[in-house]
Amino acid sequence: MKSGSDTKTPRVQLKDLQKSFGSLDVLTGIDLDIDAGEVVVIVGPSGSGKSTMLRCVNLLEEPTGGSVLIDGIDITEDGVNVDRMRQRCGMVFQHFNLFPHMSVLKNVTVALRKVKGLSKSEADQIGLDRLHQVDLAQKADARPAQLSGGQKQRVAIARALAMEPEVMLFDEVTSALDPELVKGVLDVMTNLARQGMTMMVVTHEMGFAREVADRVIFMDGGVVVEDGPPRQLMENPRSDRLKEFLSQVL
Amino acid sequence: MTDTTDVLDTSAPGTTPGGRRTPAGSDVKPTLALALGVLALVAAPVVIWLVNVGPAGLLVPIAGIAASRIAKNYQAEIDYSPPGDPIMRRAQLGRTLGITGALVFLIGGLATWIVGNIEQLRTLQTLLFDVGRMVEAFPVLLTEGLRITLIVWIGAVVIGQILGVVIALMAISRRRIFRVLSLIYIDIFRGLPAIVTIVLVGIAMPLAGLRPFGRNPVFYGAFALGLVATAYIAEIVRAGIQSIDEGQMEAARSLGMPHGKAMGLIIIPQGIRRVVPPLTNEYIALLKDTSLMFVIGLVANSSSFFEGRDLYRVGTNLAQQNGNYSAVVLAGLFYLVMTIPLTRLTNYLDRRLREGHAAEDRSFTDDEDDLLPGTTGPIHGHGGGGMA
Repeated sequence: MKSGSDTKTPRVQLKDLQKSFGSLDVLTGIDLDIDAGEVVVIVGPSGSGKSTMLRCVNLLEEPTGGSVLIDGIDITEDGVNVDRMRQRCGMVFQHFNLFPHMSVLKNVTVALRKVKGLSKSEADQIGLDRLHQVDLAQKADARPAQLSGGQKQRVAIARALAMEPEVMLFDEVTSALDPELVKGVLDVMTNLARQGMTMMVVTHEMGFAREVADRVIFMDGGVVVEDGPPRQLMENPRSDRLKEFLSQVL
Repeated sequence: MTDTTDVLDTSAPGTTPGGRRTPAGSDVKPTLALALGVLALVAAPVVIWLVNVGPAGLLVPIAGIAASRIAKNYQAEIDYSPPGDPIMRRAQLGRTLGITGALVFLIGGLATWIVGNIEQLRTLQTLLFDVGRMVEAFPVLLTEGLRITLIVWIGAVVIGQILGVVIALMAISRRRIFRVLSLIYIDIFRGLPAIVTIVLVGIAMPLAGLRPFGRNPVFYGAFALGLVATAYIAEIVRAGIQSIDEGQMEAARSLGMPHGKAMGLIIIPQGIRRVVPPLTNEYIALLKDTSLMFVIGLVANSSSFFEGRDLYRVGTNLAQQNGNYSAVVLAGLFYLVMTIPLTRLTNYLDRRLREGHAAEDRSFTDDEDDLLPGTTGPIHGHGGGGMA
């Protein structure tokens, strides 16, 4: 399913993307093309702008310059229906952000019903399928508070998948988990990658980057410093900054 | 052998070489405590029943309390004392005697005062607790007073809750004009004494020809209190909504929900649950504030379900007629019968919110949870049953 073809429009395109918070320039010009089916892992020291870049892709942060294109459509233009564009980008957060007042199934189906307007039975069917995909169908009636962190994160993935997004954005999704719970979440993500999902993954899990990523991007100081296949970046880092970073995380 | 044994064996009482403080015969405090304690206990009956020393008698309980403090202070200084150590027992005895003396003074004094003023107390009793008067007042308080109080209260709660949520949403709106308007409203109605609002709405407004509720002052009272409640409830709801973690809004928006839907489906339901205890408190305050309607001058009227006097007004009217305040006391009891259970309910809800969260922390410690510390989750989490 991986496209690789040069003639196709990239699924996600960042053109000279910039973001400042007041006088603090977090992104100082990011250019990046991500093809359909590609799994891109974004690494870099804290404060390098990884999460901010990811959040710009679905406009949780509004870029202060440049543009973000999904399937060739510039979503930063005025007049674009942001809510519809966001449905194309599923996002999973570091702190899960499940809705605590709803059951697990309702967490997964609420947007199907209230945004896509599906009937309850249609939505429940999709919801249960997605929960099954993350191996949590048996927890459909539980409340988020009754789940472990790893289970919560898998529900959050199911919730994002239910909207049938074209891109999945993962923002340090294992950072808040106890070590023994990380693997279950990474397994779900690996399966998703194998099924051809386009994924942008901000993570510190270098093992995941090496095994699953098609490309690894190293960011520092608000720019992309290196961009290439995982093996190349990890074994032959060209820049001193990446060498230093790898020496600290590996 | 060990240091401890050496210290215990070789040292004289007092500060030991190891630095441990043990009771010593030369310590002044136990003796002082005992002396003061004995003094308090002996002097208490004397100054109450035998010798009138006037305000100087207050020295007796002071001595008793001093004995207790000194003994306690001494016990706190001691690192180790063998069980039954005579010096420690002396201090403890001083403490017991001192407290007993103070209690004798207090209870004896009170009993003596009651006996000496028995006539006035009887008058007070008939003035406030005349059972006959209460029986007489009860039906009026129940059928007229309680009915009007409840009508005004429920009216004010409904108005306050609906408008309060609206003003709260304006306060967190992204439009500046809404924020400014809500701020002005909240500042004015929270800043004014409720009674001023009631006079302005209930007397001045109809006087000026503005009579949206006809001539029934009960409606004006309910409306005025509703306006006041709106401001307080708006503040409570606003704080509740703003206490919801930003990630909730981000998650909802990332699923493609428009801002309004995210508020209505995700943020507000959680915010409201979180503010149930402070809201209940506000309802209780409103119930009591219904009595402020006396300034509008409610009058007895049996022709209409919605007209008449509230509990306070019925009680005070009867008091003026009879020169006896038992009806006011009974009206007060009516308020208590409603407010005390409501207060208990508030405390229960509050406790359930906090303890529920603690229980959750015990079950799973592997994450920071999607909730801020000290907040809800379990009020709904346990409702469905299953976990605990």
